[in-house]
Amino acid sequence: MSVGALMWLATLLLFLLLRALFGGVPATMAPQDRRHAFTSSGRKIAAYILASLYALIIFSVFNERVLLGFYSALRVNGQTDLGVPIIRIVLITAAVVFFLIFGALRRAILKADEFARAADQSRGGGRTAFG
Amino acid sequence: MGVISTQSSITSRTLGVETSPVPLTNWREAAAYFLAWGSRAAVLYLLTPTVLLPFINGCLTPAMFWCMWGR
Repeated sequence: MSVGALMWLATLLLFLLLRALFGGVPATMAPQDRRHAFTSSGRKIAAYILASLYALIIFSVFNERVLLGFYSALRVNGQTDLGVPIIRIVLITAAVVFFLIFGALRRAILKADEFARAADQSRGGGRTAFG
Repeated sequence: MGVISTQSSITSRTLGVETSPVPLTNWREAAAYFLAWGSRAAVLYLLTPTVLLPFINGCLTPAMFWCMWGR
């Protein structure tokens, strides 16, 4: 478990490093001159951690409910060599699902920020108008 | 998640905020992510038989010995 957590942390750092090297910070996250920024705001890190938790929960349930039965069926039928490619496919799917969840969470956080800013502005405008 | 997104976009429209289509990501970021993920998988693949399994075995054997004979 702790090795897994360490590996997720290492992946996050490597991802931030490679993204900075490629200049891949999305336009919505940073202006044009900060496309190579390594640092990420606390909210994006929170999106990464939340996405990790979601992916962990989804694939733990999937593993328990589907994969265990599938592996025992393979063992019963004597096709255990199919296990490794299936594990690889599941892991690649998990990586893609994680990335999609991460992107969607980050977008939701961005939208929530925009909404809060707009609400603040409208409240400030109201106060000015009345006062 | 979807509820928050939909709700915020509806409220933004109500408040008159200009909403542009927000791209989820870009190909550079996706490439960075999948490279990082592939590196992690490669490191785990290399470390598991050489470091992790011997380490876990090394930890488990004394623990099992203690459980069986240590009382």
